[in-house]
Amino acid sequence: MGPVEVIFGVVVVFITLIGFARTYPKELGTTIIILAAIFVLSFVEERVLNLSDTVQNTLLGGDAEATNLLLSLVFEILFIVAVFASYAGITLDFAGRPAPPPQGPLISLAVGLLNGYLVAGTLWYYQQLFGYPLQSLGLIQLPLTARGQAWVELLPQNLFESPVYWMIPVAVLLIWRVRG
Amino acid sequence: MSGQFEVLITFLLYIAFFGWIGYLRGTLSEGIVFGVALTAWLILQEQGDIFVRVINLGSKGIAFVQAGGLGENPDEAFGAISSASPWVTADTRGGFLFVLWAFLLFLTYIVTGPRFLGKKSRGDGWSVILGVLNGLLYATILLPRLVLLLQPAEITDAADGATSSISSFFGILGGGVDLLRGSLGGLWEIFEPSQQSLILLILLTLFLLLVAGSLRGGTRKA
Repeated sequence: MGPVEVIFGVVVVFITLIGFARTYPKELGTTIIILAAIFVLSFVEERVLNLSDTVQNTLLGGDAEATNLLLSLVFEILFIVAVFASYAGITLDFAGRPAPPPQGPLISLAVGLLNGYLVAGTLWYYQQLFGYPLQSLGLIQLPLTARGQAWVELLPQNLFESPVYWMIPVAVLLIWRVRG
Repeated sequence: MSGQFEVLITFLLYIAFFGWIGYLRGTLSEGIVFGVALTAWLILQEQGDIFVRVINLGSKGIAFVQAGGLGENPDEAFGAISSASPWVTADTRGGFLFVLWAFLLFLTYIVTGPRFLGKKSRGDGWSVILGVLNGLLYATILLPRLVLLLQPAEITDAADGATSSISSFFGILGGGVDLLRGSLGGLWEIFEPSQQSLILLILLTLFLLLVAGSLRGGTRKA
């Protein structure tokens, strides 16, 4: 395919454009779900990692590569399901109309960019955590470039010391939404 | 770092000032001023010789009249035309075109003022953006000349070059972005990692709150 940062950069661009088209009253609800999903996955991450040896030995016959691929897919599929749920069906929209141009579209673009960063960054993080298992399927090209290595430090899960941090903006936004 | 930070603050103040002026004057006024300032600047840079020839034609006309060209025997006056020295020479061409541009800009500011446009020009987000663009355009054109007052010998060439290409406009814009990135990067390193996390969290929460607060007519959803 191509360098890791290019692939995830394309994901960011797509989600930013979707956010721009949906406008930020809808995108804010998606942001809440994404942040909550990041919190939940980060919260259970260590517990799941503790089980990796057991999974490797009992289910996959000691195949470390397959274990990494399986675990990364478990995390990523769970995350994608949460993100998909936030976009489809009954969504957690915010009431009210967006600000008029140019503020409104610019804010939509910024919130879309934030969502894009959170989604692409999380997918990248689980690839990095498990040693880029998608490489074996030919979807990712390694080694990382210098830029890619620098960006790894900026992935969402590497920003905060504790996953609890993610719940603070979620709580604030939920209070705001309930208040109306 | 501290010097760069001061430059950054100055740059932000400059941008904020023009953004504020833009908001006060409104979108229509700022749009007209930006259009006139940019178009006039480009035309004067690319086709400035036309205006130089027109003004020099005036000098020949005056010489013709002074030599009795409007009298009964204008033949001698025609000879005076060829010997008349032009008002704008190659040395003064740059200064003349700059003064012409400044005069046009001054006139445009008067014409697009509240006395003429009244309440037709209203302040909004677009007017702020147009104000900032005007500020960047003026910086592109005026800054090299202002610095020339302090360091004439070193940057004469730079001043000439700065007014001859539109790339200098994007140069100022790119320089501003680089300055912002460099200064914020330097400022960021002052904090310890644990403090950085906290600051990021506060910024993220504030950003989301501001976004949610910008929604209009928000009522509780059923």
